Amino acid sequence: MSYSTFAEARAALSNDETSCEALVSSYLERIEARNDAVNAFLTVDRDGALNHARYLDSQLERGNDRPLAGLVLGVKDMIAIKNQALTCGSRMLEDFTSLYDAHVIEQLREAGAIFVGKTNCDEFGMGSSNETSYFGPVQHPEHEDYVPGGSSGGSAAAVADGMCHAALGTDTGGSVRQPAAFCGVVGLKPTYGRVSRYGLVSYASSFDTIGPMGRSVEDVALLLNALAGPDTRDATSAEVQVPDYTRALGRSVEGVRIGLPEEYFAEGLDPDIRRMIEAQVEQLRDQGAEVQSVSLPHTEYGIATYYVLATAEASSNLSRYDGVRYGHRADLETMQAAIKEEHEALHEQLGTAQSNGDAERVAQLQDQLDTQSDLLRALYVQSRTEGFGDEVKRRIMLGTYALSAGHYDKYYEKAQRVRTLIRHDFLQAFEDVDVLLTPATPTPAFQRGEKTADPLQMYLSDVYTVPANLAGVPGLSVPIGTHPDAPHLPVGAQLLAAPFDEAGLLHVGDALMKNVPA
Amino acid sequence: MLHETYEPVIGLEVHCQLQTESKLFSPEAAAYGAPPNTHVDPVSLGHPGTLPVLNETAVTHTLRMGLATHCSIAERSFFARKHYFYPDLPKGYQTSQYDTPLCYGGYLEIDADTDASGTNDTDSARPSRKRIGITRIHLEEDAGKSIHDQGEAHTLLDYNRCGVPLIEMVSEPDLRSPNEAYRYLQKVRQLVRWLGISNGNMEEGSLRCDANVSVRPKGQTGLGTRTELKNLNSIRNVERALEYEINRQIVARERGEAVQQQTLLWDADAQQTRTLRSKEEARDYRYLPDPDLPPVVVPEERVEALRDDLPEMPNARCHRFVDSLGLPPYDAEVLTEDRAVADYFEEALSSLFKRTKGGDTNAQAKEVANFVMGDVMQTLNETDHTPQTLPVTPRRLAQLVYLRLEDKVSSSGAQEVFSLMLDHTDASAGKIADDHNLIQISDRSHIEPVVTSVLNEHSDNVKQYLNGKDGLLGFFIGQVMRRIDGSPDPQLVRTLLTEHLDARSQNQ
Repeated sequence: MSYSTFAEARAALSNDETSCEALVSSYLERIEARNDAVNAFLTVDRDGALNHARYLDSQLERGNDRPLAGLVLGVKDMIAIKNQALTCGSRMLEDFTSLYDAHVIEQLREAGAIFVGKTNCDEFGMGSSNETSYFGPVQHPEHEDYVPGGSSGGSAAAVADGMCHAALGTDTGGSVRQPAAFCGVVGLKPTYGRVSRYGLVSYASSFDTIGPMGRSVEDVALLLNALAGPDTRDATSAEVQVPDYTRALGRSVEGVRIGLPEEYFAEGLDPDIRRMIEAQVEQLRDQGAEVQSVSLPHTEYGIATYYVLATAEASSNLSRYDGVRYGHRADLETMQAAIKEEHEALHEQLGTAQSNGDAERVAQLQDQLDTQSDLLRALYVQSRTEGFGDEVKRRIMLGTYALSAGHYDKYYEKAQRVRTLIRHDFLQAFEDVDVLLTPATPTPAFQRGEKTADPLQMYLSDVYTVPANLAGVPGLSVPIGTHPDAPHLPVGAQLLAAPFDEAGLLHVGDALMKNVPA
Repeated sequence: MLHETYEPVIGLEVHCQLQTESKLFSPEAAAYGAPPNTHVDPVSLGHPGTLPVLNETAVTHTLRMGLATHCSIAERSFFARKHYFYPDLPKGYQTSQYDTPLCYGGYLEIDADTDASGTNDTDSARPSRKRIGITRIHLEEDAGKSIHDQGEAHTLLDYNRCGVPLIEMVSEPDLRSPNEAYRYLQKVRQLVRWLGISNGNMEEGSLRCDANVSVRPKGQTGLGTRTELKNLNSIRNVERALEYEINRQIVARERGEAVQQQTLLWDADAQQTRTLRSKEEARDYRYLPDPDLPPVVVPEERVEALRDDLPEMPNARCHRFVDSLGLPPYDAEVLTEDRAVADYFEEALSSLFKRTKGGDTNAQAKEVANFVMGDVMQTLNETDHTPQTLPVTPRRLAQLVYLRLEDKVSSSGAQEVFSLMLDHTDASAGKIADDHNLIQISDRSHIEPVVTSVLNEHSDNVKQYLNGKDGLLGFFIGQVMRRIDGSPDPQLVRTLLTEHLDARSQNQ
């Protein structure tokens, strides 16, 4: 009873070979069987999904069809669904329930989608392996010791493992495209502004996007039809016409100008992935595409620029989690104990300073003692210390540093200027080519624990995806086969296009995927 | 006097809540006085995933204030996040403006200190004006309210105010006395009310003021160390706190002590300031351009349209009342304190002009001014009425003024008619005067026989009067008035009595 793509299920639904309820039931069974191992879903809304499926079936009987009727969807737990948990993979929001629906949830529900559950992710979207989730790592669906990528690892794994037709991810620096590549599914990061962010919990506001992940380019196009468009509640959403994205599919690539950015095929790229991409390029050339080499000269500054700007925004966005109105709050006893401990340490230092006759230090410590005893301060410090994990704290500290007096010009402002240069690189390249073709990741999925000790190595796994977020351009990750090394992990190619040319990406992506032997 | 050798230098930072239906960044209502936490929504509470959307009316209000104070308008300005942790600040930052305020480089005119030059020029027709520079006016959101004094260890939080639009208006340090600061604030309050962008109520907190003050020896141009005064919740408190603080700084300097740069709270009960925080505790707000809000772009056409749409400003209107209507400056000042009153006055006057069709227009204006500054303003003060809701509409007031100008009613009669008009809203002034026998009898032939008989009947009193007891004239007037039905013109009665008494004196 399970269909490999939503498009196939849709055909079966039209022929009365299945029902929405039957589709949901079969996916619930799969989740039941597999989720303990994979840990892709944090919550499963069994009753809600079945009820909505029955409602849709009754609507279908009356001839009320909807474009996504019967689509069983996983939703990354960074996106708000009214009256459902919204954890962002964090202890901070472990018990938080959203009061409202995200714009995309309203749009998709209207289109007939069924939300089967919330998917696991790196804490607040910060991570590339799904190992920073407070609720445990997600396992790669095919190889239990490997990571599924991140931060939308739960969504990618759920789709790859057949626990849902498709899923929503969020992409701030590659969080849709990288796990899609690692898990062998299709993932789209739309143009910044193409899809409303209202209801997407902010990590880095000027980078964050919501993107669909599916088993075919067609499914992703169908989802984008419902997701795209302006929203009055998001001032950064764009008033740009939404085409029917499925019309981009099934067309020849003849005459399409494809650029290969030199900087994406340089040092650090796995040689087998390079060969696999080159083989794809040859096929596209044979089919009439015009392939040329291009340069994006500021690519090397991408990761550094991203980690200054994104962490600066993150440090600001995450200030709201203070334990006052909602979210994790430390116990009163813990706070008092922390105050006492600090007090004792300060008193000890004070004694030393006094016996040394260091008047300045004495005054400083006296002052500190006054503020340290503040219960309010302890509430903030303890709640945030307990509520956030290490990677989140690392990024808050990085961002706070970059925004501090005396550092702003050196880091934040400079990084903004580099961001403009990177965007300019892309716009320049799209004068000459329609799409850029690159590897999605420098390596296939890595083993769990392999990079957790070295954040910089972890950050570099996003080296090919981050520039698109800096430039705001759309990107699509498409599976192009499995790596020749054991254990034959999936490999993805990335396509990038000019702002709002998602149709161009889907067009070439569809052709690319059809060239891959099943 | 010590104070004569020192000069205070004062700059004011005024926060003013804008009157808009919804909050600055969310559709929730921005109403004052509702039960705690009833005007909150996920956006204003900063719930995860919510985003701000700018209220355009608040931008328009800010631009109007900027134009009214001769500011330049930024073609492109940004919102910035100002970070600090406090429980009444739900997002951990206040969305404000930092290096690109919407309006900058303007000024406001106040009446100059009359005693500054040592001369008292209250006699001159128009007091001289002093320009106070406006450094900037920017738009930001208000925080919620922390209520601390509700039992020990408890702080209550009300988020209704959270996200209500505020303008922050920073003056140049151009003010030289607490009284100038007082007049500057009065002017600001008048202006925001005039423009209809705020109720300017300091007691409700919709107008708030912080003051920066330093002192320096007179004649010196450098600035002394300044302190910042907060919690100044009435215009009078601003003046008092500044007086206190200036005195404190002068005394400190005279004692050879340095003035510390610090933030002080004004304690209105104790009438003194106390330290809130020192310079060392200054916060790093880590300003960040708000990535959720696109830049505010104000094209030249919008600025020009708003400029054209500005009402005539109080100063200009005041001058016009003096110059073209011949009103005394004091009257013009009083009438232009409140825009609705000034509108009422002008409507009544133009309605009157339609009746008089010429004549001494200055006298007519003065007559209307007297009524507005008298009965009308008294009624406004004593009732909940506004000039717009007053039952005596400008047109009806013109009817009454006309009766008075035509001498159809006496001045006390007119007052009576006015108060009757408050209750009898469907009748004209003339009808009310008629119905209540308040139409003046100014027919000589009607009054003269009564004068004659009163004087005949009181020949003793007449004798005493003629022997110099002038006070008896009032008695004769009273007698005559009492004997005539209706309202004899008291002026005419007086004239006739004097004539007759004069005649009797010559006959003596």
